[in-house]
Amino acid sequence: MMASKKSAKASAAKHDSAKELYVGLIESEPMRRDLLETRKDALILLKRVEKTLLMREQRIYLEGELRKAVAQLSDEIDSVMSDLPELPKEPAPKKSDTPEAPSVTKAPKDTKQLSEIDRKLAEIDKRLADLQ
Amino acid sequence: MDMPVFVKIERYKESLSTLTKSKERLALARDLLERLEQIRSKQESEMHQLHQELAVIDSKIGELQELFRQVE
Repeated sequence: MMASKKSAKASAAKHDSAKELYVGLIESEPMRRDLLETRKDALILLKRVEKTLLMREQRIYLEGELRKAVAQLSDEIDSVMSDLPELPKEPAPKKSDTPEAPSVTKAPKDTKQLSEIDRKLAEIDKRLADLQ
Repeated sequence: MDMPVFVKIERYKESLSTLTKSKERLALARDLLERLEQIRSKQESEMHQLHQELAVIDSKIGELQELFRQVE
């Protein structure tokens, strides 16, 4: 960058009109190099942004897999519990005490959907607090 | 006085097998969670890099802009 500044100043001395100076700047090698360098930086940045998008997709996928695994785990525990005979003193937990399997949620599209997700999250928090 | 109560499990073998599966499922969930944490950490590091690279480009464009202004 500094090289191109010096070059620009040198060009300014050589050229009389602004147009000629502009042409001199663009044609000067340091200027071209600086532009190419900045372009390369921007391309690297683009790749990095693409990478974060892919990471996001990967996270969504893994979170889905985790949800599936935990839901199956919950079903398996239910299945073992159903094999236990009921004790007279301690009745089996009411259906309302067992958490419902969370539904698959898609990415929110509007604020209405977002507030619906907020509501569901609050409901889950409440259920979790009740269970603990 | 509390006495131990023995409860007959209707399908003992099936239950045992289910619990073994549950342990495997738990290990899978733990593995997934670890991978998620790793990705989150990588994402944070990427975000930090993005900030730095944006600042570098911003400075380079500023300098180029300054050069062009000298022409005017």
